[in-house]
This record gives sequence, structure tokens and C-alpha cells, in this order.
Amino acid sequence: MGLIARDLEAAGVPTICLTSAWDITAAVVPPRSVYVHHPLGHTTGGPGDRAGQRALLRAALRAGVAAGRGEIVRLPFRWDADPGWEARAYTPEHTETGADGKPLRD
Amino acid sequence: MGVRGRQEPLSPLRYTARVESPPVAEAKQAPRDSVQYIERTRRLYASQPAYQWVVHDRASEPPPWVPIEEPLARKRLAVVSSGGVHLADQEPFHFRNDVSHREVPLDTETGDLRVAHFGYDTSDAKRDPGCVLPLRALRELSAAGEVGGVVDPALSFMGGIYSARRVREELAPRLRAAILAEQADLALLVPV
Repeated sequence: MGLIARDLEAAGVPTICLTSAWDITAAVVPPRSVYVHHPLGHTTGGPGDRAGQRALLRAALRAGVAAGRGEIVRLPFRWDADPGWEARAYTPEHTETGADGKPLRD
Repeated sequence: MGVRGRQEPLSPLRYTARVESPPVAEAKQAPRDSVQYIERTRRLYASQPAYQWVVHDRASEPPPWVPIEEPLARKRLAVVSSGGVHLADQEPFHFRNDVSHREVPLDTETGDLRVAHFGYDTSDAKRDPGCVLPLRALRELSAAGEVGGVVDPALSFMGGIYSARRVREELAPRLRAAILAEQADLALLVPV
């Protein structure tokens, strides 16, 4: 997505990347980024958490418009639904479908 | 009586008003609690060809920059998520290098949304795609006047595309055309 951010910004549209993967975003260096410390798949909030999703979106937009060029700004949100998730993220234990490479069908 | 001496030609570079982009921020250290996804991906998919992460050097390849001057309340916002959200009656995303995208109307009910993505645990996003594409929150902020408007439809694709070339040459120009056609003032991008 960082490539798309750079492409859009070069075309004259300012962009804000809202990311939960600091290292991937830091490598691409998008124009402006906001980091939320949630597991992948929950970047904009928890399931059914209507108030939380709204608060996160509002905070992300406000922080994003104030971010400097090439900066990543961390939002003050925590993920309490799954304590210790950081240790399991993107390990064989936690990956639902990634390792088999099969397409997902509902 | 003329002015003596050599006439300096006017240099267009020197005398044309230019808007300077601000300097690029220094790289911050990754937070200690953040997950090192690049390293973990390398380990998790050790048997497969290495994922081609995109890396830019801050000094020699700085990001382009367009200042945001007006308040959010006057901004028309375009939204793109790479969480693999699509409508129930649209073709799902496929594995690897699917550079297609889907248009997702802002007023789509949760029950009419689907999520297809090979690269993250989609169980919560399947229950509520607002985890990666917050349609309801966008509608609420727009209705409250906190943003000037939201481009309808939102756009979604499936991230984890192995070919950076195909993102640059196929996906990015298509999304750019859609967003420019809607005259968006600002784009919110949610990489997943």
C-alpha cells in the first residue's frame, strides 16, 4: 500500500496510511503514516466495536493530517482482547491460512 | 544613459516562485512492542520464494509530498483497504498477485460483505469487516461533519501482492484514476 500512497501523492492527492505493521511501513516510507498497535486484521478496530472503530478512525485522521513527511505517528490504542498476541503473530500457531497457500472462499 | 556593465540574464530557476517540500523526517526506531513482520514472514514462508518487500531510502528516494492545508471538515476523503473486503456477489480475491480491486458502497450492510485474504487471520474481519474497512465509522464521521465527505464507493484489494512491479504498473494507476475521477482531497489507506 505504501507504493499506492506514493503514487497518489505524486499525482497530487495527499495520503494517510493507517498501519499495524511498523516495520513494513517504515521500509516503504509512505508520505504520512499512523501506527496502531493492533494485530494484523484489526487495524481499524475490534469486531462489533462501533464506538472503538469510530474513535480510532477519528484519531487516525487527526494524527495523519498533522504527521510530517515520511513520519510514522503512533496512536495511543491498545489491544486487550488477546494478551500476548505479539508473541504469536505471524507464527505457524497464529496463521490461519497463510502457509497452505489456498485461496479463501466463504 | 544606460546601465553599465554586463546584464545578467534572468534565470527562470532563480526567479520562479517555488513551493519547497519539507525535509523528510528522520527514521524513528520501531517501537519495542511492535511485531517484526518482515523477519517472521521470512521464517514462516522459508520454503517459498522470498517476498519482495518494497524498501525506499529516505535520503535518495523521499516520499512525494502534498501539504494538507484545510481542516478535515472540508476534506472529501477517499478510502482504500487492502484487507480483501468484497461484496457477497462479487468475485472473491485469489491467492498471489491478484491486482484486481473491488468497489464497496459505503452503505453496504455487514451481512453483505465478505473478506478473502491469504495473509492474515481473517476470522474477526469476516465477522465484522469494519476491522479493516470501517464503513460505519466513515459514515458516522461524515454525517457528523467531522470530515467533509467520503467518496462512495470505498475501494478494496487483497494485499500481500508478490509483484511490486504489478502494483506500480497495474493496481496503482487504476486506483489513482478512480480517486482522481472522484476529486478526492485526501486518501486514507489501510494496508493489511
